Amino acid sequence: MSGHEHKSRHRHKHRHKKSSGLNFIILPIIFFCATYLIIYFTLSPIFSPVINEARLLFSDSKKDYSKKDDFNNIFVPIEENPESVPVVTKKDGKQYVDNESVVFPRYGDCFGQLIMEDCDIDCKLFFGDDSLALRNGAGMYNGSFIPGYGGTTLVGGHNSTYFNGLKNAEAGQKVLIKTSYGNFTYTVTGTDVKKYNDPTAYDLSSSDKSLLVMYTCYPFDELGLTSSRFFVYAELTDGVMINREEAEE
Amino acid sequence: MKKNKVASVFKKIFFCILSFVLSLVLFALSVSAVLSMTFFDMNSFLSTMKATSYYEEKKEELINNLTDLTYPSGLKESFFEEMITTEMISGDTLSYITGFFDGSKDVVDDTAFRQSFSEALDKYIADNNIKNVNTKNLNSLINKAGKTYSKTLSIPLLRTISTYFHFIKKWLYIAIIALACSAVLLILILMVSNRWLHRKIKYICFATSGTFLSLLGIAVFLTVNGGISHIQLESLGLYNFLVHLVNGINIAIWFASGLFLVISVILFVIYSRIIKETSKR
Repeated sequence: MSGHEHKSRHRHKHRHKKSSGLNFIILPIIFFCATYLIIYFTLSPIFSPVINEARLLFSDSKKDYSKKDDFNNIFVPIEENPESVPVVTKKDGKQYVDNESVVFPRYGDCFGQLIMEDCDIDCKLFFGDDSLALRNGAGMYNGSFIPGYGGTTLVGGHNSTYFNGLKNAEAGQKVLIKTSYGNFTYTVTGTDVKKYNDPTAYDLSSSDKSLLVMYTCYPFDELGLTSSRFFVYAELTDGVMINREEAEE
Repeated sequence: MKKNKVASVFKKIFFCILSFVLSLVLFALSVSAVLSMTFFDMNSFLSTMKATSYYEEKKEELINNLTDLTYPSGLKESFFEEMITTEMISGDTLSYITGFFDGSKDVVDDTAFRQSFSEALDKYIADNNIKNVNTKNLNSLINKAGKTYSKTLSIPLLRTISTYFHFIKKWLYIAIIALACSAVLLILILMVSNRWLHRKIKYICFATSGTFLSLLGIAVFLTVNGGISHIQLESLGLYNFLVHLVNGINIAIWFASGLFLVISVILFVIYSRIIKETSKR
């Protein structure tokens, strides 16, 4: 073997070793990329419906389970901060609450207080009537109107707790609803017992009068799920209404 | 001479492709094995439930839900605290999970609960001398409570993935055996087709290194994203259970990845020694 041949062979060996060493890094990376490409193109059409559905379950942050029994309280009694409710006088000479100053409640918010002295009822008023609301007070159906806005306000409560006193309700009694934007006094016009799905029990579409409908399960103090409801109907007799026209604009 | 060079290049490409296929097979085998030992293993489900205090959390949720339902009837939390036991919950959950894995049923049986609730109500009525009882309304309450019990203990996600779950579970063990046989076959081909030991080791090392990286990809992805900790579920018990289950899968993938790293390093060391010895000679 000549010197030149030996040198060339040595160089070849060296090159071979070097490239072989690089292969131990490059090839696994290529394999890694190719593996994921194959997975993506073969499995994504099969699993994409599940993946899309699963994505709906995720959010950017962790859910805080420690706050599950907490509710947002936006109620500040008007007596504590009388200047917080600016009023506007309209052409008809009547005063209305400036709708821009009203903090409209969101679902689950405690936004007021319901007091019916004659029936020994004094409880928090929630926007929404889920179990958290009914456990802590009375819940306003979120498809009805908030007090002061006109239309019917539909409020429910448990007959074993906060609305147990409704059994003593009679026409002429007063119901006071306090909110951060005004206090509203209603006068009871009557009571009735109807089935829970009776469409004649109340009319939420009417906005001519400011009405309050309170209801609870009937008969009172009965063990079991009842299909009848005890309704108390009341009409607004005192309170400054929200300036609805501008709110609708 | 030229023909030999071309043949050699083709040979190298062929062995690299074989090596990649082996890497893919080992990756699929590892993932299947990890899933079969975790997500598709009923005992893993049950032990994760035990480890995350699933039954205790579910008991609390049940008491809350049932109290919401029976508040109008005047039944307080204390009534259910005495009546509902973790043994009742774990027993019904066990039969529910067993039924789901068998594919026989996917609803929680509320018979035992209804029986206990009915007896507890009778005792409550007698103890409190309650006279205002309507049998129809009482039965309606028992039925609704049974539904609440069943709904609280069932895992809604299982029903969603049910079709996929049973399909994969049915084929998983067959797939594992097929993948293991394929891996052995591919290794044998690489061993037999290559004349030199260092080449045999080299191609197997490429495959194990590729598998290591692919598994590492999943493990890093799950770790960086915190597993499924951002999942939004109503039930804390179910949340803890699922997060723990996925963390278990993540740990198993890290372990499998580490195993392939060790194998790759050993093969590389052997390969280097052979090359060194050959060049010395």
